Amino acid sequence: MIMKKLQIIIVIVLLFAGPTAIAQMDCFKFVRSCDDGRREGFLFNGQSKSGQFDTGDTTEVTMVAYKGMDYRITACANEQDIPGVIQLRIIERIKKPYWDEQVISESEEMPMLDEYGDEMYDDDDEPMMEVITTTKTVKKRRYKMTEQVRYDSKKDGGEFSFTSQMTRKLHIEVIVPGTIGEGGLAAEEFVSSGCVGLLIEHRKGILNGFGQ
Amino acid sequence: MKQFKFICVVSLASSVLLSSCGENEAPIQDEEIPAVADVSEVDEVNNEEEQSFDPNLSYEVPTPSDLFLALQSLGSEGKFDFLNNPSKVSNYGDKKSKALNFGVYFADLSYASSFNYGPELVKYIKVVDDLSDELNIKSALDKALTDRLQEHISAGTVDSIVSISSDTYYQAYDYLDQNKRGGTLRLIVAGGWIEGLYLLTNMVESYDAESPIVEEIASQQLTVESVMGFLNDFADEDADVEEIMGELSDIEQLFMNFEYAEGTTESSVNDAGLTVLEGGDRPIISEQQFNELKSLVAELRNSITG
Repeated sequence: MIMKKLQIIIVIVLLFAGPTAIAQMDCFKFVRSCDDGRREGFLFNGQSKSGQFDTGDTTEVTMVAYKGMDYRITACANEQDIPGVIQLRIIERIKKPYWDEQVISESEEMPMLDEYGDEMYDDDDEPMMEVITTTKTVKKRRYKMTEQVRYDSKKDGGEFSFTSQMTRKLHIEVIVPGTIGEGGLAAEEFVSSGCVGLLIEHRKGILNGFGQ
Repeated sequence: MKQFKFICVVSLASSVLLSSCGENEAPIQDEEIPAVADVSEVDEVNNEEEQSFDPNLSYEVPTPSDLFLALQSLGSEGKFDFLNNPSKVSNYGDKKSKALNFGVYFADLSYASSFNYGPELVKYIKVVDDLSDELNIKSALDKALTDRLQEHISAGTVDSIVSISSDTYYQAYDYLDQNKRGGTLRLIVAGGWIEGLYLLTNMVESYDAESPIVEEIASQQLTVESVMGFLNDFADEDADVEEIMGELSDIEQLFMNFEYAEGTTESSVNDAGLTVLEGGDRPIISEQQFNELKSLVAELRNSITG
């Protein structure tokens, strides 16, 4: 009896909530459906991502690219739900070190000393005091963070394949195109959701020079 | 701004149907995260700011295979004496220990594959397979993969072995992520990262600033933030994840003290038509830091492997 009721509940919920749930589940492993670079020897990299997004969303993913390896970064979306081209911006945040010098002044009341180094006293036999100001320079190592856009699909077009001369961390901004309503304005009623895949692939790099 | 998150089924019906979804770990909420303003220039004082993780960022950790493949392509040679002994697998009784050591053994398998350890590889396939069974992820792994691995080991086709073992890792990763077992996944990733760093620091006997391996050890500074960010997602929900984060904090702190070499930020295009990324941050490790790191990593790794 309980099982029968449960089956009915399952059927009802599947009828009403099922399509949404199934649509959401479909995003799992969606990245595997993106066009890959296997023909050029690229292999799937575990830093790839799949997810569900609304039109107009932006997200950021970090990746580490190793020295001596080639990488290919592309994005794809379910075209029925997300029309247009996914924009990718590859950004490197670079820390530039510099010394920050600060001059610090400190004042202290000290007993006055005579030419022999002895403390001096006034007529009331009280020690005579003077204010000594010392300055010192404090150096602190600071880092100024600057952003370097290494690739922007909107400006540079095509796909981004690169080789890195050293291991580096990259920030990948994934920009899902917004839906344009009447008069060129983004219209909320046109917002739709769909699957997006960020495909990162790698292959062994070709090093030049003797002995490499 | 939204994050990439695999979405577990939200409807009642589906959660009944997929009883494995969730297990002992709380599901991640797919929540709206407020946008933050773009910051183009930030002043940062070394060691004086609290570490905080950007909730808008999705921290991805490269697999141990990525690191070893990169080292192999630079012409490095493997040292197999430091791999965890497969016979220890029976010592790992609780969930935390099993998950961390699954990561450890997977890193060992990747290392042994990348540097062509030959027939000994079979033992590592066996322990990874055994632990996947104990962690209830074996059903997610393609049985044919282990058979294909054995075939390639016999044939000595190293690249294929590396590729197939990576696929095994991705299958385990996807399965845990899909089934909201984020805590177990994070322990596996942590175990793999620690073992990768342990093997890497043992590839050089003494410090040499010019050694490409020492440079790569310094570059792991770039991955430590990703590892901690990835773990941090589950620290509130899983005490084991919080614990391993605490155990990693000395290593993280040491990495954060590294100096950086100044570089240009130029790009060029090589003969193959690939963009060549030049310059950028290059963390530098001193001899004292190298020795301290090697010791801290060995201590933590040995506490995991027993």
